[in-house]
Amino acid sequence: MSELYGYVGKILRVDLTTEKVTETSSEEYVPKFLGGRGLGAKIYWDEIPSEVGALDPENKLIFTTGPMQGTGVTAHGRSILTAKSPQVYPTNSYMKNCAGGDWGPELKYAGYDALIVEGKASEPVYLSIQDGHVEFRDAKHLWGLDTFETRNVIWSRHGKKARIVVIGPAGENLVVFACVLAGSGNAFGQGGFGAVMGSKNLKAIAVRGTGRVEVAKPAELVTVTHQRNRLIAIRVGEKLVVDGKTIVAPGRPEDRASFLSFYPPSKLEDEMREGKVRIGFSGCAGCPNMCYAKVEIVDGTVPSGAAHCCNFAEYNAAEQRYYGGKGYGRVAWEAAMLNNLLGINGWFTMTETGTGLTESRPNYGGLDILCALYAAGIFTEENTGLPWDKVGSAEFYRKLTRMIAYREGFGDILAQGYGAMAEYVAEHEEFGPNRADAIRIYQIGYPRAGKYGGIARHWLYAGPMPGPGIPSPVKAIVWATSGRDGSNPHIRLDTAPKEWVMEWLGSDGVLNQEWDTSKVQGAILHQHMATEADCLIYCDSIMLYKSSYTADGLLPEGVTVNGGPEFWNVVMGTEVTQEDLWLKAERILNLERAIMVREGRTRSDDTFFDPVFEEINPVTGNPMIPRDKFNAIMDEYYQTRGWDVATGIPTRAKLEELDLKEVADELQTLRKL
Amino acid sequence: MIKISENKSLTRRDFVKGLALGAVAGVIGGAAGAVALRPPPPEAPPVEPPVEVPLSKGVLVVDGNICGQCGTCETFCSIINDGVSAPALARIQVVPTLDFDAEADPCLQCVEPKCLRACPVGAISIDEAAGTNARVVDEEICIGCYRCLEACPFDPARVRFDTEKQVAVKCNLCGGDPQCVKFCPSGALKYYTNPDGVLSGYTTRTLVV
Repeated sequence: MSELYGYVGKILRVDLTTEKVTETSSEEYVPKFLGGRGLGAKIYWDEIPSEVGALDPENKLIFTTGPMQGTGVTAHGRSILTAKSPQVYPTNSYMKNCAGGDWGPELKYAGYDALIVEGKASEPVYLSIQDGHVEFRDAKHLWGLDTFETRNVIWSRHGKKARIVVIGPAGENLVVFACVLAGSGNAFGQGGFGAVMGSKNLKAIAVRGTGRVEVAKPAELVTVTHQRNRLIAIRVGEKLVVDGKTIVAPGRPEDRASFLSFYPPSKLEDEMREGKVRIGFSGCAGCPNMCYAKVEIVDGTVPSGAAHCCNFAEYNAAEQRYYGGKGYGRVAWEAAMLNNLLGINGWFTMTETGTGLTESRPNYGGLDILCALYAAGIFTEENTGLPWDKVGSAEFYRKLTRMIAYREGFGDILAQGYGAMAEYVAEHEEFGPNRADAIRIYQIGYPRAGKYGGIARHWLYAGPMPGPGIPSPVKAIVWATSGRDGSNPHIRLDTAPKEWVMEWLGSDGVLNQEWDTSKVQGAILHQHMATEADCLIYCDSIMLYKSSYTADGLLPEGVTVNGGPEFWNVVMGTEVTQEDLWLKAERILNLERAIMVREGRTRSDDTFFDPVFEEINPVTGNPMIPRDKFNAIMDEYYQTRGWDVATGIPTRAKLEELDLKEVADELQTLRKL
Repeated sequence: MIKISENKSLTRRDFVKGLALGAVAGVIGGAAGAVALRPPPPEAPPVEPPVEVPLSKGVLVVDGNICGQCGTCETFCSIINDGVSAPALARIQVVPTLDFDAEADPCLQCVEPKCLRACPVGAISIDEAAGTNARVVDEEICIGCYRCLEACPFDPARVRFDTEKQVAVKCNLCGGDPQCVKFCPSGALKYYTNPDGVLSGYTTRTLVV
């Protein structure tokens, strides 16, 4: 691997059943499958047969990094976790998931591009990986502790520089939306991989590395990274001159004064002025954007910690509605910390409105679904044990999260995922005469029909943030065909500057909201950009999203929008164009599609539930997603992808064109081709 | 708020020993390629350190309120000085403060440099040529004995050990133009200079700025 810069060259495989540790070369997989999401998909394709259940010992946790991790380029802190997901409903299926922080770079400094954890330990253990040494450590005394307590015990043994991924009680109790916390304020959230770790009796993985990542052009790396860091470090309302061009970051003036650019003035900020709370910025490795807050509650009545903007927003609207006044106070903070401590994916316990479903604001999270069930007269305090008149209070949230994480009472039903919950509710008389409506409410919140749903519809619609919920055809295509939600949500081609869109697509059709076939190329480009970001790996949030709202098309000379080619060049040492990278991304995307096809997915799973098609767009008065037009653009999508229009399965010709002949052969053996 | 890191209790010596052994074990384990350890220090008589060490003319300072622990100073320090990205080699370390917080913590070019005093072969000297008076390691002379790492009063030691070259490496203030300050994306790092010298870091009596 001497000339393959960026990678460290080895993959670590840990078998929890036999406690056997082996190392293999990364050369088998990279650079063809790039890293991150591509590397994870390839290992998944090779090693996880479709009949394996998500919580079986045969399922594997595949932690992967890309060539950028550990190199010091902008936002190199992310890493990918791939496994069969217990969250995908009703059929467990492939999912990939990304976490920020600094766990990924540390894995590379410890000597590994990827870590595969397989089997099942007979008793609770945690793994310690220190510069190529792997230890299986007893975790019986850690089982049942929250994520911060566990982390502190591990730090006391391995030093505070150890980077830790850890599960809380929710993962131990196999809650299908349990997350894997990475550090203190980052997580592998979607996918329920916390439950996969729990099913393997694996409490945590601590990594410490003192090694090095070699890059091809160290001096240029510094220049290119610094140029981008300057763009990204810009804050709301600030003005910056780069290469003679003035860049102004838009934003409301009142936001500039607040402690985080995303947040309006808040209760916590008031407490900060009174000295009751200390607040600071924090970021992932290599990232100047600092999009999460470090909050220390001085009196200790609420846990201190770090939280990303969405994490902190999980309960904000409800808190504001219940207590009045400004938002983002102690209760919202405590809610964020409860999810982190118990290891719950906050998308399932978040509320955007605090009131349940509303016509005017169609973006919402899992708690809005539960509130809607209460509003429909289906949930009562008697049949759920939850005080529904106190939604927004600390008391309600403590009860809800505890009930889920420990599967107490009705929490045992919630912990199985909201699809299974809705079916349970519809079948049981104690939920009253309206109980059949639970299915419809679930379907609006978890919109993908077919066998591979179970992912909340947040970001189904694009629009300026905070968004009015404009229905977006591009996002609908991406959502319909995705293995999870419309990842990566921050790529918003339909709101990108016109010059960029013209350069990429040769037309600006993607910028309007009509349901026509000009959206197909936009959706494909979105998927390729997202895949590129997930493979190399950089952060879609700061690269594309922040570039578009800060720079307004005014990028300095030689700076591409997402930075992929520049970073590739300085890290890997070879020239690559944006089109080359998107072609490599297309290979990964087809491989992922092949995995899903092997697990039973067809075109009939790439659609939405009827209630979603029946929703009315409050702005235009037309259907949110007109069914006929949606079906027509989906025809065009499969055609353009080189997939069979009737089945949605990649054709042999397409797979061979992308150098995936062995994938086509296996699909043929399985009679899928 | 400008803040200089606090010196830790001197009982941390044992911890540093453990850290050093850990790093050696890592090399033997093959993480960074097995390299034979250097022999113990030669039998030549120890070099007498100078009686009085001139003050450094500059010191790196960190605004802990701004530092967001992104680690760009660490990766860039190693890239610029060693040509590889290796935070363990960085002469400025991002050090945990609270359970969820950390901040950059540079070498303070101590008034009374314990590392310089501990070196048995005179490999650590005052960089008068660059005009900074930084305490610097001459890699040609260094025998890789770890004594300077053990002597550093800060945790982790601000003298770092290059396991491939088997020598100690240390902040030289980049000859008067510290690159970590130049590239800190948050503006949390500053380079404070005084032609009469700065009182910073560890002294035999107290900690001063």
